[in-house]
Order: sequence, then C-alpha cells, then structure tokens
Amino acid sequence: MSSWFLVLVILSQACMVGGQIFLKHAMNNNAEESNTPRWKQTAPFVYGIGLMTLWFFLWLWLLSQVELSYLYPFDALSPLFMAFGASVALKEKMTPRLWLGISLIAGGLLIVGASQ
Amino acid sequence: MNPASSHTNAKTSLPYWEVISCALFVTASEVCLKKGADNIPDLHALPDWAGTQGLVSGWVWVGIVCYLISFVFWLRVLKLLPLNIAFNLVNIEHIFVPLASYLFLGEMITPMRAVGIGVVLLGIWVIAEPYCRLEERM
Repeated sequence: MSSWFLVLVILSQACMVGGQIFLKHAMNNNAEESNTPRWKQTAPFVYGIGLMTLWFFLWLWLLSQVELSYLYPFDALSPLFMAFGASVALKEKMTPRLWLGISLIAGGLLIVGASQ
Repeated sequence: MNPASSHTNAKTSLPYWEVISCALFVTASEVCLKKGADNIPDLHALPDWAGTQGLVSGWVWVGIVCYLISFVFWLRVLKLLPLNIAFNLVNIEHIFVPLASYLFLGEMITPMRAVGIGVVLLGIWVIAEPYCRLEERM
C-alpha cells in the first residue's frame, strides 16, 4: 500500500467520524432548543451532511481502486475512530466496558472482512 | 458509559425501534443496491467513474430511498443516545446484511463469517446490556 493511499483511507474515515460528530452536535442543539440564531443551529447539520457526502464519494473511489476485502478491514476500524472522536470532540465518557464492546465489534468486523 | 449519566436522562430506555429500523433500512438499501448493480445494462454513453450508470436501475432508486429513510431513523437515534453508543448499536446492520445476502441474494455465510458475526453480536450485547438492566429496574 502506498502512503498516499493510506492517507486517503484515513481521510475518508476522518470525514465519516467528523460528519457523525457534526450531526450529533446538531441533534444536541435541537434538543436544547437554545436561543441561538437558526443559521447557527443548522450549520452543524450542513457540515455533517457535507462531510458524509465527501466520505461517500471518497470511499466509492477507493472501492473502485482496490478490492472490497482489502478495504473492508479499514472500515472495521471506524468504531475505534468514532470512540476517539466522540470522547475528544463531544466529551463523551468512555468506560472500560464500552472499550471492550468497541474492540469486540471491530474484531468481529475484521473477521467478517477476512472471510471474503 | 454509565447509562445514568448519559444524555438520555429524559429517556433512559434504548430506542429499540429506531435502532432496528435504521439497521433494517440500511440492509434493505444494501440488498437493493447490489441487485441494481448486478442488473445494470452496459451503457457506454454514460460515464461510469462515479457509478452513475447505476441510476438507470429501479433497484438502485429503491436502495437510495431506503437509505434516506434509514438516515431519518439514524437522526432520531442520534438525538436519543450518545454518538458512541448509537454508532456501535447500529453496527447490528453488519449482522443483518450477511443474513439478507444469504436470504435474498443466495450468498453463502462461511463458518469464519459466522464467527465474526457472533463476535460483533457479543460486542453489541456488551454495550447494550447496562441499558437493558437499567430499563428492567425502572
């Protein structure tokens, strides 16, 4: 694997995690019904949709370059990236139990990917 | 994450229907997209670098509609649960997709894949179990 390919894979995962974080942020804002202007409330939602769209097309392009079974294990790492992103950006509390669950899911997805 | 301290203090129970519906519509979307991709006529007039040829298939459009419906359910799940919990619970789609592939596309589930699915299920149970226990107490 060339370094630029690895950079693009990591970038696609970063877009996906960032998109989900923005969407969650937008949902939290709506729940709080704050007095902030409407455009400020909708901005995270738009950023989230934008990043998810970017991730979709980047992932589609990566899929066109390599086999699914080669790329799938990187998708399996998304729960770990998501855990890191949510704990840093959204200050969500991580517990050993949650890490255990995330590790099992990532491990299970790796096994599914390897079975192709 | 301690369920009692989560963002779901208003609704401590898991949004079962939203999670299941989201995963089921993603699964339906994947199956329809696969069926559409397999039935795409070879149209040289259309550029295929971004999969645009797929848009001529009805299955692909059904898949896109299913994906949009799943997104609506996903937003509802995001509103009710912390991102970490929501994202990992919806990973149950990785169990539904192979099962649907077996049922509707005739694809095989190898023993190794079955083990992987089992490990994913175990991980989802590890995350969801504290919520279920809390719900039983209420």
